[in-house]
Amino acid sequence: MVKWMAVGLVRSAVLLIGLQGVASAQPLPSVDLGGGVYVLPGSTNEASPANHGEVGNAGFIVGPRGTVVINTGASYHHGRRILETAETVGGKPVVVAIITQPLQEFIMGSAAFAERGIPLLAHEAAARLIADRCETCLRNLTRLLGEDAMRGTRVVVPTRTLPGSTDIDDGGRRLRLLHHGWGSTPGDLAIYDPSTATLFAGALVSSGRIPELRDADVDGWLNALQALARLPLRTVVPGYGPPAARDAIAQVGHYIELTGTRVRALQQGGASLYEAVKAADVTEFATWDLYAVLHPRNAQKLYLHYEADEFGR
Amino acid sequence: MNILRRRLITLIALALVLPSGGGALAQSADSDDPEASPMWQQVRNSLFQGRTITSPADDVLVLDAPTRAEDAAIVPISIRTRLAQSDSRYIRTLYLMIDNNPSPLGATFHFTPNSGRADIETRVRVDAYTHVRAIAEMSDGQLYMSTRFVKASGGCSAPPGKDPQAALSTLGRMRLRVEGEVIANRPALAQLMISHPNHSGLAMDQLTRHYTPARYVRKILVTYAGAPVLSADVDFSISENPNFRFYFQPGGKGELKAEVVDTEDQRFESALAVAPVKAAN
Repeated sequence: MVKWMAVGLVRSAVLLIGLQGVASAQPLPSVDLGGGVYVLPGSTNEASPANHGEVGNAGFIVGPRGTVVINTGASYHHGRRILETAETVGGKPVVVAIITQPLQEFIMGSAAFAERGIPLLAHEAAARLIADRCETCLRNLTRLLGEDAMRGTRVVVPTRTLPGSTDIDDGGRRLRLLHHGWGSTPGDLAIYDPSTATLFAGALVSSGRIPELRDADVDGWLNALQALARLPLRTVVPGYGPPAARDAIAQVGHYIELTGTRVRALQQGGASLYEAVKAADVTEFATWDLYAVLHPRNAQKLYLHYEADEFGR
Repeated sequence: MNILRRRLITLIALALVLPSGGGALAQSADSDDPEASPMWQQVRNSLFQGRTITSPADDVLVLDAPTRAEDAAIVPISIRTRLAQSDSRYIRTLYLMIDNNPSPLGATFHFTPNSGRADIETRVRVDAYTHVRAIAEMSDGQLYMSTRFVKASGGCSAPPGKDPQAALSTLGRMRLRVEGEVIANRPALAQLMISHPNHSGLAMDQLTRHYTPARYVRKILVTYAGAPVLSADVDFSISENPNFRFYFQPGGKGELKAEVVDTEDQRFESALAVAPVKAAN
């Protein structure tokens, strides 16, 4: 009897270890866009323990000799799963990881790549901002998600940096990295794959989820969107939300302009910051995810922007 | 600002910033009882001793603030009062307190019957989950209080502005604005905007790893036709580019004038000619 129980315990222990092993080895769900282009969709919600902070999209593009990963995820654990999924599904080693924006959901998995010696590539302004602020973000994120979820996570500052747009040929596949100035963040990069006419827009495009203006240069963002919309495009992979058609680019511009017009009218009409944030509804976008959270924040950012204009910057 | 004072501020900063990990949780536990806040107990004892403070007192004043701050560095605060500033009884002082800030008493506003109404709107920095409170002291010495609990979340900090030099070049620029039509002998809403970084001395420059030295607006005096309508002692709890909305009650034509002094003893002035219209009735 005792012997039987002991065997049972060992069995369940083995089973448990086995399951954990399977959990980390099982690939993340990916969306195959064809032509070796894949999206790893993330949540369109805020970072929370429920989604392990896995917010926003990552992706990968498979070349003849290697795979390029786009964004490294929200934690070391997430980064490893992105890396393993890219190699399992794509069948090629990952040769570089590109960071589209210095945002926690796109960079916190970088240690998983760095420990394999895979270079991290970013715009130089993005790399600078990662060095400046991401330790603070990591502390806050760890407080939110817990030590377990964030184990092994550290801030890795990309060392392969670019001053502007350029073409790369990593993995034997030509990709265009596009930088149209400070848009959604300093150091935005969008990745364009000419062979499939696919654009990984990063945080410059958000679809069905309110874009976040916290780090934005509003005019720069609108200019960048116009430039991206001129590309020959079959698919746009937004930073947040499912892959979409070209129209997703204009939608973001429309949101920014609509909110800007509304807030500017309130600010110039004498509404206080408090009043303006409360009154800045743009009903057209009220059904987008995170409207209740991000829209008031965006309205405040825009109000302060227009107010500062009055001092003639 | 001398070195001693700067050190003192740094010490306060260390004492208050370091334990913030558990602090946020500990603070949220007492969110439903503003009286229980230890910092409030201290400040209450030193400012008001054993005097009675009526709270809530919605028929005297109401403090409004977002329960969830959009940006911890700029949290709009609105204090609306319900009493006319009559010669016989008026709100003489409003204290604005943010319990868990390094310097909890963020601002003290003084009013006169010429203020018309003792309302104030401004923007403050909020370091953690905290009670925010406005205490009105009447000309007869009675005290009333309104409180709100504000959650300022962590997340990532915004990137630095593009050009700190440009911010310095506009330091001290002010704008005075009157909102709406100004009617004689009625409270008129005015806005004072000051271009000033209002450095707390507590924020580390992430690039240089040095603390940006404290430099903030500390005194404000607003007069109308030579008579004070608002004076304020403020500190670095007020957000960068300090902004105040307040009332004044013009009898006839006059000049609305604001004088501001910062911690470097630099003085800034702005004035606006006002010609109120007669009331229609």
